[in-house]
Amino acid sequence: MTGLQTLLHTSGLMIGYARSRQQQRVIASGLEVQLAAGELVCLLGPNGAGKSTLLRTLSGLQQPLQGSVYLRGKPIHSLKSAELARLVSVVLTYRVEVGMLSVYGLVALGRHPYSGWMGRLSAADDWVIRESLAAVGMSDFATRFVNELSDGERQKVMIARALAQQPQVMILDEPTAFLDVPRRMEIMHLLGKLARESGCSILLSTHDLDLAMRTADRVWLLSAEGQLQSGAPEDLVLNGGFESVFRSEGVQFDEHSGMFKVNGAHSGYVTLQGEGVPAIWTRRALERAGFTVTSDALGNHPLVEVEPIGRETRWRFRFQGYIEDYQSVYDLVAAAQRHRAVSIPV
Amino acid sequence: MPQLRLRPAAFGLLLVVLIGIAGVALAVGSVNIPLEDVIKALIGREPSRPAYATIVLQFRAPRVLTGMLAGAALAVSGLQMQTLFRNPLADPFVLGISSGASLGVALAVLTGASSGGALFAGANNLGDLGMAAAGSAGAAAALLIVLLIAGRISSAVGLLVLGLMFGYLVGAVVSLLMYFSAVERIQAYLNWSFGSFGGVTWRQLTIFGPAVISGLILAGTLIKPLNALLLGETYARSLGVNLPRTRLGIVLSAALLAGAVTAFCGPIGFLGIAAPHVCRVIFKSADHRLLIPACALVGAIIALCADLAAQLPGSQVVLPLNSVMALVGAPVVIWIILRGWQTRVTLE
Repeated sequence: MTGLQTLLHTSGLMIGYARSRQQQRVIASGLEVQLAAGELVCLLGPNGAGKSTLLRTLSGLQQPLQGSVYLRGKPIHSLKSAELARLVSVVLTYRVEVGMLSVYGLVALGRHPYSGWMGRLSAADDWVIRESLAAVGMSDFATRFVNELSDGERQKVMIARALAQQPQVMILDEPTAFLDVPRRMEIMHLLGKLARESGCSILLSTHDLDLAMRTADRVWLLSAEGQLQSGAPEDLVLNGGFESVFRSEGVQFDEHSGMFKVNGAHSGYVTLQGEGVPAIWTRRALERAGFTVTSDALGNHPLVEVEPIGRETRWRFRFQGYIEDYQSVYDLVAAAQRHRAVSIPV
Repeated sequence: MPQLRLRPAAFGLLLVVLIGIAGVALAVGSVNIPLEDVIKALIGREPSRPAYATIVLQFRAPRVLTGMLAGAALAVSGLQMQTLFRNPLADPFVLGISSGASLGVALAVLTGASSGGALFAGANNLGDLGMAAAGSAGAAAALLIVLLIAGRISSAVGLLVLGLMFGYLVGAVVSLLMYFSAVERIQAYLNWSFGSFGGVTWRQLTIFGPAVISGLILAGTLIKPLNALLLGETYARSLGVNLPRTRLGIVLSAALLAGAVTAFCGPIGFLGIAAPHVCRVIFKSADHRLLIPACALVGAIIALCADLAAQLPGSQVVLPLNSVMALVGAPVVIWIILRGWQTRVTLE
């Protein structure tokens, strides 16, 4: 990314675990990555590819096997622990269980690298804590206890704590795990907003491909073999990156929808006519049932017409002179499957 | 708003309660002494009977001082263990620190290798030192072993099982030692294991006092990293905490506190686990800037109350302190567990 300041970069980075002096388990090597100011980067990859190991190494919690991580041009191992804590903050996957700890108290722990030996908070610290709570929309929760929060609220408070460290780079390990879909979107959009407004770079790992593609400025794609590709999400669709990294038995990445499809048995062709939202969802249902859906009437295939009638929708199914109307997608798909079964021996 | 409130009223109240109970403890016992005579004896004036001065100054004052120091020490070391292991049920006893101290004392007493009888004469300063050293060395060794293995086990339940096993191990070794020991040595060890604040003389206090106070001061310097450790070790590291140094500091402080108490007063359980919870409930906070001084005060109060109850005021009978402490402590722990389940404070 030209024009944007690089906050973190790596050079010849090899990550993994050293079991003993001779034996090491290498997860990935030769990594050359950059994080620019103000960008939201999503780290994607199949289970076990080593996403957490990479994040731990970049945040200085784990030693690299080879190479270095640089923060604003300085090697991470040359920094004192308090200096590092002022540059990088983390949100980890494990749930913090502390009784009698208030939300304000939790966020205040983010001021640890700045406060004196007793941890006394200055007025400036107090201001940063309040701003951090406000930035995640949790100001009203300051006096609540952490144990009383829902998972989504708790995650926002953990982000506020990381924010209170006033980091240059914030690293989050699966911040959207255990959350429902609206909460995931909320967290991702919050992180995107924080990156743009605070100017820090935010790196997070996630399994939510769809959401990552909609919110990330950049995607790092880590394959099970330890290869890392970097680019705009769209780049990785166009160059087949997603397809190759997530390829597995029976699952296919669909370049048109940007989603994964489960490959079942092919059920045949259906021609779909109609417009609007009902037609989109009818197409999805038919595809799920294994039909290839076309919009042009080709050959001797069943034809489905989606017609709005008032506020309702009517599905008309035509096949070899047979015509039937249905009131629901469920009944329509059942009919298509019934007639396919009949037509196969012919 | 939620900036740290120092809660002077709560601390003031605790201090008043502590002074009040200390006063009662000085006045009440096998002989009841009027409060004005107690005060006269303390400030060096002549009480109504000369014997009162001896009772108050030579017997009750060191006992009360020992109880306060021991209670504070156990409560603060318990708090440190609960935070370090992120386990609400941790205390030095559960993790085998007191077992280690018991083993040290048992080895010294039952084998009687070095200074032998002098250990229990209580008149020999070298003997006191030897006993405190044996207890503290045992405690430190136990905690170092636990921490060493704690690095490999990430689950707190695993650690508790470990501490439990260590306790059994020590119990077995002590049984073996007793099996081969002379009756009077066994009796001496048993008396020690009942626990008592009464056996500590002024002279012994010159060792016990500084040991506890330096442990408490060390705990005080660890307040900030202890707060960071509330989030777990990885978060603490990400906040810039030097983990090996902090762990070592907590080990030293807790071992010194628990080890000194166990060596001089015997293995006193339950206080270390109960007092921190009582403090969290009183102050509704997890902040160690409040909890460490609060634990010291509440621990001292609980210790004095238990000691007072053990002496059964007005009678000549003195119950074993440990039994009384457990009689009070066990229901508290049960209450904490039941309450913890309700508020989703899981024990994992």
